[in-house]
Amino acid sequence: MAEYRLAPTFACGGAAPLLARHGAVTITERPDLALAALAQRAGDAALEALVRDVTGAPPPGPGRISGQAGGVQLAWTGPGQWLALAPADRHPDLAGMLVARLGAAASVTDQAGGWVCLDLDGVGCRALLERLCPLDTGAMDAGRAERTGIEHMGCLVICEVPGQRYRVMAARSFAVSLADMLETVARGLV
Amino acid sequence: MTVAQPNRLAGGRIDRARTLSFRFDGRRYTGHPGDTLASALVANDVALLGRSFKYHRPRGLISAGSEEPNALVTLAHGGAHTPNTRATMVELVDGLVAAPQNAWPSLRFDTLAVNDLAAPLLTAGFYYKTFMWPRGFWERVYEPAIRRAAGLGRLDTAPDPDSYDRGFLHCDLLVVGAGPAGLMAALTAGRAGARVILADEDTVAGGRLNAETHAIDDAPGADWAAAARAELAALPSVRVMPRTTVFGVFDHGTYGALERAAPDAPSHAPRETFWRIFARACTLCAGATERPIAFPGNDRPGILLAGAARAFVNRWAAAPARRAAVFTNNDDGHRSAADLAAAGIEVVALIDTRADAPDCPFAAETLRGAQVIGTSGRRRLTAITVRAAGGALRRIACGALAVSGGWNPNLHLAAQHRARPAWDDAIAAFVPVPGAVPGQRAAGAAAGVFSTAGALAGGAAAARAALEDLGLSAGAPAPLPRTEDAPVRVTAFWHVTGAPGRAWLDFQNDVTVKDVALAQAEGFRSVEHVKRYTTLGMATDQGRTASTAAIGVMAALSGQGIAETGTTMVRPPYTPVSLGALAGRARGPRFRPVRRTPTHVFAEARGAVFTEAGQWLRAQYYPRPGETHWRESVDREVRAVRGAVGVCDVTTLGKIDVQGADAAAFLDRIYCNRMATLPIGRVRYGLMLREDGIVMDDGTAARLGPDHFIVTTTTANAGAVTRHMEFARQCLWPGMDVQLVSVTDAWAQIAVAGPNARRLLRRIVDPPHDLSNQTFPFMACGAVTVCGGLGGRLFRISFSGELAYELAVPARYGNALMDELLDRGADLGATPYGTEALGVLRIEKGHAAGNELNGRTTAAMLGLGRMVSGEKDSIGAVLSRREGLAGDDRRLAGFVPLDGTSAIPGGAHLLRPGARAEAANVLGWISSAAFSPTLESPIALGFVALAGARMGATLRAVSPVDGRDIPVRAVSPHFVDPDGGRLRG
Repeated sequence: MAEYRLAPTFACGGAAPLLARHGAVTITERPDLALAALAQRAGDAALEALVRDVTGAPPPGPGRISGQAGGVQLAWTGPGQWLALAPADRHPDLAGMLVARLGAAASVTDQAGGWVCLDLDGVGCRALLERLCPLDTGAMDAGRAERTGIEHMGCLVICEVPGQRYRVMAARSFAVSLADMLETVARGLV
Repeated sequence: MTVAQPNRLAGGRIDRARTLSFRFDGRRYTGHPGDTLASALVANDVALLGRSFKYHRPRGLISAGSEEPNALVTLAHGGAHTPNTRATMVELVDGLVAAPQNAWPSLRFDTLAVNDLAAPLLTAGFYYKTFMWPRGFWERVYEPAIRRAAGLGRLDTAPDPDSYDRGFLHCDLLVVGAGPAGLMAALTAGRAGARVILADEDTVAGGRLNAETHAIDDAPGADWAAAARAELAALPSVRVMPRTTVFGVFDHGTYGALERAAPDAPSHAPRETFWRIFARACTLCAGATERPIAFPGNDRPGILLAGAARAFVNRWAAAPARRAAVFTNNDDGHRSAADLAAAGIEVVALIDTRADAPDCPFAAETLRGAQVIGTSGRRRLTAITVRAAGGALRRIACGALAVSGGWNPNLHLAAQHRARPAWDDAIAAFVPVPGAVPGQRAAGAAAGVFSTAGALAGGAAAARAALEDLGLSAGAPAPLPRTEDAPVRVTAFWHVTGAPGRAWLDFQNDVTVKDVALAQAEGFRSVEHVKRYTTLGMATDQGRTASTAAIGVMAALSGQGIAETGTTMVRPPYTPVSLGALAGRARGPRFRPVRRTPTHVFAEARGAVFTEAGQWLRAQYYPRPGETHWRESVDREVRAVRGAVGVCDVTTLGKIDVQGADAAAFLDRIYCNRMATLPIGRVRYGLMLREDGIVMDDGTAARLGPDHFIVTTTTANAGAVTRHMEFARQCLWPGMDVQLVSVTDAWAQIAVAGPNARRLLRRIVDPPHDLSNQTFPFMACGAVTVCGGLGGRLFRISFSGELAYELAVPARYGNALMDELLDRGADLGATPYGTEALGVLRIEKGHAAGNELNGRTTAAMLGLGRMVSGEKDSIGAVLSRREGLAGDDRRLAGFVPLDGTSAIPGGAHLLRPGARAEAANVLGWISSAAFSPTLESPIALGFVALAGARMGATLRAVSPVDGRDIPVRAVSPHFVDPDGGRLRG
């Protein structure tokens, strides 16, 4: 082993994860997520049972996220494709674990640093999101996970508690712009 | 001391407990909360508000609403100015400053009013007929002069200090307009639990109920509206949006709306918000707009619409004058006479064009079958001339004339899908055609139902029908409130004839009856042609008060009916929309999102100059103290790579993870060269063609396992290549077992290039990994750990021609890795380099990049023709061999200036010495040019026809852009290390 380790940086560019409160919304950067892309191998019917074994639920259909917060969750990202999310402290090698558990039923790709994740908390979430994306956030129930566009950035918006708690994810390189857009709108609502 | 409000009456829906101070045209006035700028000016007896567009005629208020054509003012806010603001739509706030427009030197003495004397010349088509010669004068002389004289407000060219926003809303039922019909529709749907948006352009919901004296359920109509507002506010599924104009309907039930901030909103809040509303159904309850009658001198300040006159009196307790007359062709004009009289205004006469008009007990006299044929008063009305039924003329002194020519349903949103409204003789107006816009129903005055009872019933019925369409339960119908249900009695009357003087139709664009007649006489028969020739309806108000009367005049003159004459096309927006609101937040640095590389913080700290590469922000070069020109920095960085070792963030190159049992076979079809034979742990250069045989992109494929590849693309084509591969996977060969996912953002990828690259990496990559040339040769790849266990990937590939590697680590460690490489490589001469040096290095090596892969070049042209495998099929392979394309003999070549010093212009055309610089003689072009610090000479890459120029030939690089004509020699494109000894070393 070499004598030193590298220090990670945060996607939003700060010395610490972004934490911003504007009126009725708090925006929190979540660097503590392990992420992996999951794709079903052609015709492999074994995947559903194997996924159920990992997350406690079958792989979700379009627009949904399954599994329990705190454990491994799967969000639908395309036909036969999902994004797996889990707390990094419990699953430091999420991709490795999924390869081991799912075997040849799925192609697994580590996405640990691929996404920025911003959690939105508070009663102002809907007022914020309706100015950012064309999703009908007022009709999203818990467990809804939709691909959408926010100011030309491809995003995944997950509803955890309707009206109260949402998760917005985008490609990591967009983090500063995404956070800036969220904060700009949030400030205008104060 | 401020002037009192001489025309303020008792009553009204204003808050007299507070007094607001404002300025108009430099003078101070007062008003109250609840006032608009227009109503406050009426209360202050200010009648002259502006000058007209063409003739600079004195003009005053015509209306009390968004249709106002005359009272356009420039508002000062936050140090900026907004022109063309309708005084009727401006909420009065303390300290408001408004200025009149289009008057010089002042509103009261406008020198350009001489235009009015020249009016006989300034008829329809005047410009087209007059300013035709001399040729070329139009742009330089005539147009600037005309623009100075005509026009409305002046644009403020300073940056707008306000912020704007935009957003998206969803509902079951969108109710446009919050008058009696709209309130009833919203209540009906809201009580049933449907998601309702009720949008209204006014500051407070209620519509005409706030301006009328009608009772609903024995209480004032405005009280009923207030109760409805309160009930709607308590319904959780209903969103009431005052100050919101639904300005257009678009495809699939999408509506555009503009919301204005309340005057008490915080200054940092968006001033306007542009909403896209996705409505499953819509109830159009936009009310109606009263129309004027065209008679000579009908534009004098003090002449206004009858419904507006009573709105000023009833809602704002502001009297247009103490002595007024009414001119009408319908019963609604009588209602205005009654309300004015009830407020204490002396109604000296009611002039009704109808011989059988009812008697008006509120006017001093009722003149049946009579017409107003003239007006007088210099800057405001002092008297009217009336032609009685028998033809006798009378002069009647009055300060205001309330005019009603009937009401037009506000059907714009029902006519924006190329739908044409239908003419209804009973109300002498156009009405919406049911079903013209899918999912939309009109109700109330917008549907041509003008009584309050009809509006309430229509609103409820339209909402119930919409709910039924949507499969939602409407519940049991609630009893409708009791209110007036007067029939509409109107006799169409458009313009007064047989009297001298100009009669205005379009006040904002200064178009008269005579202009329309002239257009017809000159052969413009189509209503669309007359519109364009006269400019009627083409001003910012889009002819809200003008169009129907103009059609009436056209019909009368041509002798055909109004229905046959038809209407012009209705288009969004219903009222003007600020461009700022359409842009929303997307201005300045927020015009588009920026992608930052994982080493952005590192680059910033090193003082890098950044450049945009698509959405990416990349370090272009890293200036050092003492370097005064970018070339010094770039040359130094290039020399560092050639002589020691350089590090560069190449994360932006697209990275696609390809997995699946058929991954290798899939890549064989995507790339024109063989990929299936690539051994595990090796990288291969790949070229992909478009379907038409032209090169699409190049990059590398690295094989990590039997069914696992990492494919790289150019930065610019990362998205396009991903789309292309997804299309192939999903649509062309859905049977293949292939999975794709972009990992561009997941990995920070850093190029380490130069003779010291291996020595540097040995200090970074953990010891068990053997980097020797035998174990890890050129084009090797594999998983490694770095800096004590961090998992990464190492690729031995070279874009610079040097011994080079690309090291990938999870993105969050990229910045620290960059620091580490420089710290650990200080003694090896480790230097960060940017995209500029990257470009120079690859030009020196003769590597094609975006400039060469420009969508017009083939593999053969790039010197890579043999890469198109004939042993397998791949996208574009067949068409790359087609006649014409295969015969193209232009090839990538290098170029140096004959004199060794002249820069070669990028994009220059290549010509033979002595050849004329014209297209037929062009042998090729320069695609990339740079100064090579290695050769200490300018160099370039380009494409040149082999038939005309063998290696060593002398040519000219001619730039038609700047006139440069540089003698050059064609050489090998590989300026540095042509046999590749360095990169394999």
